[in-house]
Amino acid sequence: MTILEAKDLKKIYGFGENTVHALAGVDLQVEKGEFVAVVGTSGSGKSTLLHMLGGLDRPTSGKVYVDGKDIFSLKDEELTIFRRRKIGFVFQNYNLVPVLNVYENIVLPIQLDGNSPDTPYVENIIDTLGLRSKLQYLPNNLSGGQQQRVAIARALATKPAIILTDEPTGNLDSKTSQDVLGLLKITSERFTQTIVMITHNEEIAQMADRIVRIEDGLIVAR
Amino acid sequence: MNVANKKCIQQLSIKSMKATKTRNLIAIFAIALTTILFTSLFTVMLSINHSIQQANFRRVGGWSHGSFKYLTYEQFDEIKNDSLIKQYGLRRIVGMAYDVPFNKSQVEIGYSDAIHAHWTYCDPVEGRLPEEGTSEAATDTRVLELLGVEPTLGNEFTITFDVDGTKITETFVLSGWWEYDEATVANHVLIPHSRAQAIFEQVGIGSGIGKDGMTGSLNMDVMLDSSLHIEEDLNKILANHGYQNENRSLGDNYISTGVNWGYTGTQFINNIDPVVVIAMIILLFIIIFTRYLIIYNIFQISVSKDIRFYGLLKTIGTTGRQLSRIILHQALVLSMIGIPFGILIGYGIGIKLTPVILSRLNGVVQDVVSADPVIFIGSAIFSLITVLISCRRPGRMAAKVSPIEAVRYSEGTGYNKKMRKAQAGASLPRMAWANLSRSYSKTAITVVSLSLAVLLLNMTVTFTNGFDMDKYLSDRVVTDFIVADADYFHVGKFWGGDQALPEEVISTIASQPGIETGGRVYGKVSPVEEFITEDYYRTLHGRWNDQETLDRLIAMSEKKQRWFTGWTSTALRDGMLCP
Repeated sequence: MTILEAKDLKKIYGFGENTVHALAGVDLQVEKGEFVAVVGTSGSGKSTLLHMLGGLDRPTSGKVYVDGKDIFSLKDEELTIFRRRKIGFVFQNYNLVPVLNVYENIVLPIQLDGNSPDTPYVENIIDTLGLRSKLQYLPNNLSGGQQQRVAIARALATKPAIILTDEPTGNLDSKTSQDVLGLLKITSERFTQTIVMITHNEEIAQMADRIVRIEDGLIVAR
Repeated sequence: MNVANKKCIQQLSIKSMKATKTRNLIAIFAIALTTILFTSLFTVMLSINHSIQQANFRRVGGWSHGSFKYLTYEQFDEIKNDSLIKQYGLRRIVGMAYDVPFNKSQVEIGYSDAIHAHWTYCDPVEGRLPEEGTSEAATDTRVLELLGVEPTLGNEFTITFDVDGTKITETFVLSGWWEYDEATVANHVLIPHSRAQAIFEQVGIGSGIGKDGMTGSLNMDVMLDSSLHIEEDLNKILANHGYQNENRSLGDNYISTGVNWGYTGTQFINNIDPVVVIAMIILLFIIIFTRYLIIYNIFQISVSKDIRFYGLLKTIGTTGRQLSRIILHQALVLSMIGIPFGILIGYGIGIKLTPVILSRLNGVVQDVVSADPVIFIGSAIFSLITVLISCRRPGRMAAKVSPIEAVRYSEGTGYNKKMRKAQAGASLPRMAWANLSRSYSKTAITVVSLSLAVLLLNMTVTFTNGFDMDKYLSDRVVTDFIVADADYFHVGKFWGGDQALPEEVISTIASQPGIETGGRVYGKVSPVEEFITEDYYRTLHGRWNDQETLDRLIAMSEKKQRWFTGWTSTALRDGMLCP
């Protein structure tokens, strides 16, 4: 079953002399439960692709379907709500809310939706990621690896259709990178999650089920 | 989409507020300042209105809502228990003193019960009201001064006065006195009811009413539930008991009523110069606008600074509406702290400022500071409105933030200049100057808010300090004093050749040192006949006469079908001497 699909996705930045074709017509399909790595050099358009897939930015043309839904047919407000229900994000710089503690950060997307957290499920995630002892901590008191684990927990908490991660280990040393990635893979398997990971690191990409290469805004191998 | 996430948004808003303590302090300060401006403005406005109202009551001679005039005892007994009447005070008119030394004053002798005396400012500062069955009387310091009697309790004084056409001379023992109020037209000599009754027996009125229709009658002053519809209430009371105040000739169910114009005359908006109203509204708008700019700037800067935070919240699924609600919530919390502070301080400033302004307006108006809840509610509402419109644009900016752009956001991205012709190298002043053109709208807002603040200060200073008594008077009066026969000043007296000042007096005054120049007024009051319609006659004379008198006057003049004669005084008014 296809959970994520991009069709002829194009994105052009800037005007006049500064025009940049970040995406030049990308087609991509991801099956449910898959762990896909998108690999490319700096400026290849891989971050732009992730933004489009996650509905963070609108493409110049083309379509993206998440769980069968054409996400760019939605208005901004609807898209935001769709995003918090169906898509989990893990960023290189963690993007935790600095004024909320670990637990609050994890359940924030659920509460923004006006729901109370599915407690056993969230507890399970917390234990799996080893965050039990850190729940009351504010993000800036945690190490990079710990912060990234919180971000993973937050992405999983809403039981999204897909998880999109952008260089999740970019700020971590290699040992921690291995740990975090291992956890990402284990949790995604345990909770049957679909993951699209962006990286420029071949070694890390090897952990994925499938590797997609992108160059100058086009997919060159899949 | 309406979901139950209010709590979550409030929590986020409170927590992120805790991270911006300096911004909060500045915002609270700005909101408090806004409220201070509104509160002091409203306090001054309402206090002036209140003081003018009080002054009007003193000129009227009382603060009861209205009165029923010239009642018989039967009529009084019927009306007094009407449910519309909250409280009443009773007066029985005995007579007036016209002769020297009272030829320049209106001195009324009568009985007033304790409530009536209180309502008409007859509250003895020393002693008490006269006791029944005694020869006591209470009066003000002016009457005593004219009589040459010391205001000492127990002193005797004798007054000659007119009771329904009969001259009576009576001696009283002073039981109490109060200070004379120069604003009040009439001076009262209050005597006990037993003494009044004895005088009525003496002149043959008994318990009835004299030939003039007033002497011996009862005046009932009333307080109603509200001062807003006094006339309607008085009419309703009359109707409840089968009386009317429209027409005397319709039957003997006529009762004359009076409305205290101190209430009707000071409905602020009706009574005030439209130019002043417009000026006040403009001032209000300038306050709102200057405050808007300041509070807007505070929130705008704060949102720009936290733009990544809002972008991050948007990435993980906070909608634009939720983001602007966070800003709104913060603004409301800051207002809840700032506004009460502002009201307290502003009220204090208003209290201090009102006497300053009033002292420049009129000697008669005393500084009575109004503590009307309208002040507090009004300024709270105005401040809140200002805050709400101030944080609308920053809220929209936060709502519109794109999760991707937020990371790259820096101010002044709309900067379209392509080239900069500068070769001399960078210098601090040149950099500062160039920075001003980085964002024109921002520069404009800064310049406008700085200059408006100065404008506001200027206007306030002008408003409070700018009243020049000489300028004010130059339109109305040119002389410093007037010398004339007493009849010239007495209301209702005629004056003519008999009252002219002797030439010697004029030359004596003119030769006094300090007299710069003077002028004379020639003229006399004389009856003039002209043809007018009954309607005109009624509007002209209705101002000074009650319905009953009007009807009588018309009946007297009814000679030529629908034409009436009227009295008009044609005279050049006063001229005099200026030092």
